[in-house]
Amino acid sequence: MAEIVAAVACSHAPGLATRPELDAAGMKQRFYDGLKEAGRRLAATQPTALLIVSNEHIQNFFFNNWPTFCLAFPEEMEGPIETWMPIPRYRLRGYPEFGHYLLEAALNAHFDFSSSQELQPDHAVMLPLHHLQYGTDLPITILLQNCVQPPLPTLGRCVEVGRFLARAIAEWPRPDRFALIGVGGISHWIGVKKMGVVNERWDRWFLDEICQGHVDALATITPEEINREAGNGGEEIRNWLTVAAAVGGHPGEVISYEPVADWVVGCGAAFWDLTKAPREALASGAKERA
Amino acid sequence: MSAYRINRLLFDLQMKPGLWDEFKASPQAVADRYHLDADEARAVVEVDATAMSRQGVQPYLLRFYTVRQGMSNEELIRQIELA
Repeated sequence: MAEIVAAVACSHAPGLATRPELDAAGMKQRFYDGLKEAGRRLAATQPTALLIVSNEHIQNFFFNNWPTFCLAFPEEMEGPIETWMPIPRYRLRGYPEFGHYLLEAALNAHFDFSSSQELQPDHAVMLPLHHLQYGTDLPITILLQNCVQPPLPTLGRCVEVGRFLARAIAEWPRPDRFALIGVGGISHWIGVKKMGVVNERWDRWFLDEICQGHVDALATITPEEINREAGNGGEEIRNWLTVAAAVGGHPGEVISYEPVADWVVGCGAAFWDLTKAPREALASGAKERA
Repeated sequence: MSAYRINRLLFDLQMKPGLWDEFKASPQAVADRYHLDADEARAVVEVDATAMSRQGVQPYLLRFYTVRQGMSNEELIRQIELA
């Protein structure tokens, strides 16, 4: 009964908060404006709940118990966990009934997620919500995918997860209108050699491909290519792929791309409006490739 | 796997209430409690990103630790390139 009405995918560079001083070329301002525009479009689709696909940055969880996929559905959350980060602290509402349903549906479909009924969302979730200027009053569920501590789940597995999310949402018996938000990437190197490099050419290619719905082709990107072209931070394209797969290959739109060297991240934002997509096509798209 | 102990310390420094202040006041005592060997303890206490990178410290933990220690992106990049 529920449906996905929209999706956003965007970068979550800490520099959004820690290095806000505008550049002469206007890149940062254009990206801030792009996020605000994506939030405006998201609001226009009138979602009733958010499902955010993100990744841990080793703050809620450590390597004594490190999940590959973790579904977080607390009753409430407060973030960002980085209390030193200069953005407002938000109290967020969870959606435990949906989270519990989704976890059970996942296990029954052989996606053996771990789960957490506690989470302090980090900058990866809070910076997008803050700059989209939308969504902090909606019930939120968060799926965390390991993008930072190898070995990582394959891109193909993240695509399968996305298609599972679409099916599970379609079968959720409440008339919810879900918006999906995938966060991270695009190219960046964090704490490793090449830090500071932004691969604009690759980022623009990736954005173009994902907005054309070429999810299966993107899932064939090799680990070597990600490492070479997009860096360890580029591993976060998993979260984009999961969301793009969940919207069934429906085309999206690039809202903004800025290779912000001062933030050491290629910053992209894309938007999918599904309110005009034929529902049957979306459902069969998710099913056919299941 | 010895980087596990440094990684554990850097994780706890972010997340354990009070540990950051304790570490700033007596870094060697805290490093000893985490059983860091002399090279590891020196790298962490002196915020030597080149050494920590060579020792296999997790890159994200390295980044957040150096940010919190006040190291600029530019300096972190310079030190990592030497690793």
